[in-house]
Amino acid sequence: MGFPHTPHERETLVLSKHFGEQEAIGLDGWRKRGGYVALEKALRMEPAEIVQIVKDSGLRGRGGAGFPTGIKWSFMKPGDGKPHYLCCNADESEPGTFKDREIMRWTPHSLVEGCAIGAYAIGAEVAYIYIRGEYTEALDKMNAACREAYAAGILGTNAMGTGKTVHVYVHKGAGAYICGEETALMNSLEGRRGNPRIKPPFPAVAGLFGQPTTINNVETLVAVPHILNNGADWYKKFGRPDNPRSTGTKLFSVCGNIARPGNYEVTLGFPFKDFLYDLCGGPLKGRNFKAIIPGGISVPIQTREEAENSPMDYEGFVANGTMLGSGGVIVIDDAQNLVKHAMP
Amino acid sequence: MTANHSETAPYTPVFIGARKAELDELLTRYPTKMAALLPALWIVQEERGWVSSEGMAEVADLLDLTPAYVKGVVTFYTMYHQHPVAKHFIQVCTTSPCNVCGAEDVVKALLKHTGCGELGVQSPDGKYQVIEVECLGACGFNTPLMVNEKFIESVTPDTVPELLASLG
Repeated sequence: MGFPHTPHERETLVLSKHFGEQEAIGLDGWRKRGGYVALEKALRMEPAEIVQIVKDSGLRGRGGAGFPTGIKWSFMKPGDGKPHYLCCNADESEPGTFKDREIMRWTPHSLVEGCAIGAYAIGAEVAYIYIRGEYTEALDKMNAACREAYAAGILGTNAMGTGKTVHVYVHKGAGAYICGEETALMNSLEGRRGNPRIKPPFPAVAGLFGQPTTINNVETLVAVPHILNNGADWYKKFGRPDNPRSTGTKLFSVCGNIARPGNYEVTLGFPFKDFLYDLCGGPLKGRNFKAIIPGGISVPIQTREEAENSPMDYEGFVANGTMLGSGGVIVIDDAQNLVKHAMP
Repeated sequence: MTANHSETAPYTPVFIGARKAELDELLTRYPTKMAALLPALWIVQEERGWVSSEGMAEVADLLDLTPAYVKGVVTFYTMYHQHPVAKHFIQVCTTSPCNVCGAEDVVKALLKHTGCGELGVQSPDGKYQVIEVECLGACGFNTPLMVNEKFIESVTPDTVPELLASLG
């Protein structure tokens, strides 16, 4: 299987630190690595405090849109008398992207913990993790992690002995690219055809089952326990000093015509040129890069020169004609016919 | 997955015993019965290998839906089989990231070595069926494919014969 690769010395391992460690998959091993410390702390905090820390950290959505996570959470109004829901988007359907799969395969409890904290922070008692049906291994791992967390009293009606209710349920998709779009995902979860909804209303007003809902990507949620454990200032340190709008580390999936495909975790703002040539080993022997799609197949394609000038963050990619998107880097070399691949 | 249920055999209910208990537990997770539809259909497919009209009707009855509604949902999603499939149902990713690395050649090799000849057509011995699918989300490990519920990565035209032999 694709992972683990040996991490490069220039990677910054936060989310992927325990990828490849068999023991980290189970609850005992995860606890030895500091698992559920953040949840225990969070359940004893006021939800608004958690939202503020996440706001201060600068964390932005890792699914593609890059919306500030703390601000998204603050749209969920406490005390409105309605049930709130958290949906974790684990559909990962954007071609070129395969990072969430690795998170779920190697560190499933990190996602259970991230979902539990997120749910509590937005006033929800239930979080659903919507995983695409094709991810059979991730589904098995996530289901097992939830079972372990319930058996250990981490989830349920007395989560970690605090008297708070936190449920996390895995929901299996059934094959539909569009269900990675958040409103289609909600329809699918409700047992409908996965057609997108028209906005407004936005999910925070009327989302899943017509109730206030937040949808977050897997990678976004797994960053939250680290932020609570280490503080917003710690998280903000990762990034370009001259760009405070992109903070933290990010997983980039790399595929296509390149020497070492795989998942790499770097700080936002990392030089894309160094990333492609140094971390990923550059082009295949005797070939050159022709074009690069840096953020999943729906973001604009870059020439080699544009890519080599890009800092790997939200603003850096925009300044060079494209977007960070989901971080799915698709590399196309000079042996390929671009017209053929653009119109299969 | 249990052996495929034929299209002509009489239908027997899926949701009895442990499978009924499983559905009852699922229903506690959602505020509506309808939300248990996708999981219930998965149970039918796990038990029978496909989702027949009778299976849809059984699910509809349990979830207070109409069979027509359930069929409408089933037909939206590509992973529910509306007919029995071959013993080894092979789904190959041919989306761009895999295609730039030669996924089409893997498909050609599969069609040749399985004897299927064409996409979607079962091999004469009923063992294999090959289809192309959109991104499987394993783009760094091309070419990925699924055989029933099993995910296999890094398949090349050269490894196809060995792969097929391993399936039995």
